[in-house]
Amino acid sequence: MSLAAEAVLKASLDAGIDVKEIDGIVTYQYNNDSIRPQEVAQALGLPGMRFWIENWLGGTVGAILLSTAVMAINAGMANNVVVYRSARHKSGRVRIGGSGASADTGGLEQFLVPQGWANFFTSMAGQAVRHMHDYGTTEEHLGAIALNAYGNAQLNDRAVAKGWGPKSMEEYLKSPYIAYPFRRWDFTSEVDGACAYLVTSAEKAGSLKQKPVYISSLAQAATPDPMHYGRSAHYDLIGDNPVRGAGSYYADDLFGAAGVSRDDIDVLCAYDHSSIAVIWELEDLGFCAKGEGGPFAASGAISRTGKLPVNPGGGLIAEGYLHGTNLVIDAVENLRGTAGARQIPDASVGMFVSGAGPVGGSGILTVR
Amino acid sequence: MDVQVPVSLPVWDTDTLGFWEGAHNHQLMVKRCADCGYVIFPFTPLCRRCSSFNQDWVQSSGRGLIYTWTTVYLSTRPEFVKDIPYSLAAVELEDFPVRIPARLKGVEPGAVHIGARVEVRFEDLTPEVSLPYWIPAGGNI
Repeated sequence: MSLAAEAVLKASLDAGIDVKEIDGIVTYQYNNDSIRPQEVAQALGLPGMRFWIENWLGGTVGAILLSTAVMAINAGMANNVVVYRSARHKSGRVRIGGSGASADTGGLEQFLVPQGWANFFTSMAGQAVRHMHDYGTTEEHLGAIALNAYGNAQLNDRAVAKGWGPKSMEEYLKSPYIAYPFRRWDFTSEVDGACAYLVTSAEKAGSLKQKPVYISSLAQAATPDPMHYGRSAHYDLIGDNPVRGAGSYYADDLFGAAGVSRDDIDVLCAYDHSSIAVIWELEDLGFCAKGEGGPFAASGAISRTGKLPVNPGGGLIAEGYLHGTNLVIDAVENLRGTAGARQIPDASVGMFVSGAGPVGGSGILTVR
Repeated sequence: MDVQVPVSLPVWDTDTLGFWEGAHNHQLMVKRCADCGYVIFPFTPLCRRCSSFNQDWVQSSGRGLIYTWTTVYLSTRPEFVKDIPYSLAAVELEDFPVRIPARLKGVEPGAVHIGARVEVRFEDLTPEVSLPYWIPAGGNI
């Protein structure tokens, strides 16, 4: 509760808007790991709430949250909508790592957990192995993603990985597996935390103290077999088309609506619950050809000075797992020019990705 | 003092009961549309091709190929700590076009490969619940 309320309060202070002017809340949770929008409104004493919604499930909904806020504003149902994500993944009842007090073994999980597919990283590992088999992706390619995240996190005071993590490919490759081909560095960092951002009309945004960031396009899609991804992302292992994610279904809509090309993206905040996820996104979204995501990452293209800087704040791997909402904020701060040491110079077109599998979405953000 | 480590038992439902009844009899069952023959996994209550609710449980040979795999070196659940390192696979059945999540036994950690032939066995976890696992067909992988 205090994390969520503090994040919402700080977002309003940052924007220069009175917190009491917030009249809409959009949020999401996973297995009751967060706090209700009504409770946040109560704690903050919001006098004029007119719109709220709480989605379920994970980082795949990031673009849907922002779309929902935009629709509420465009429909006249709210003026100032805050989007927050608050989670107690390290100390709470529900842990992303699958080590919570009780395992859910019903639904899709009845075929997974009892056999030892006990958490998120085992399933993603199996999918990484298949990508390596089909396309020649290597452990060094995965390492390039992890090292980029940990390197960038050293510039980010908010990052949980600031001050630690692998510093070289040699160090990365020498560390033990948690589930082949993953090392600890290939996976997101569980945190207790919260973050929030505000959405309002372009007119109102222009009157506030921060440089406004505009939404150029939002798009999302589900593949024809979305539940193969399942709650724990295992199910595209058994899908009809396991190596093609949602991004390949919505990418043309996304870039078409924004009127920008892949080459125009100055900063990409990619959904990196695991290193392999970034490789899938680079391919599905058309930044490189299918199967080329690993070599693309290893070429240096995703570094701060590369042609497509990826996750300048360290991403979910090294800033922390706030389920993708922190990726939107990293993009916004880089576009405003307020990202401090992690700033990508002169960034004017940014993009965030929500989810890497059979369900997900993205947004393209710009400054004028 | 011995500490009892609980096992994770599957919680089945009307859509999946046939699979677990089959496992109890040491048979690997899959669900098939009685009207169009589409094989359904996960076991949804209707056919995703023709929308029919008429379904049959049919027995698989229990043989298949490894579609992908991993070896797990870190357990986040107490019941699997004793098994580390253990290997998992998605198995493509030889007789039905589905890939199902699988536990491998009798393989060396990391020494699994895509395309290897495996066959199912069953372990009785409790008097009521049996769980499938897979071993290399012919003893080699």
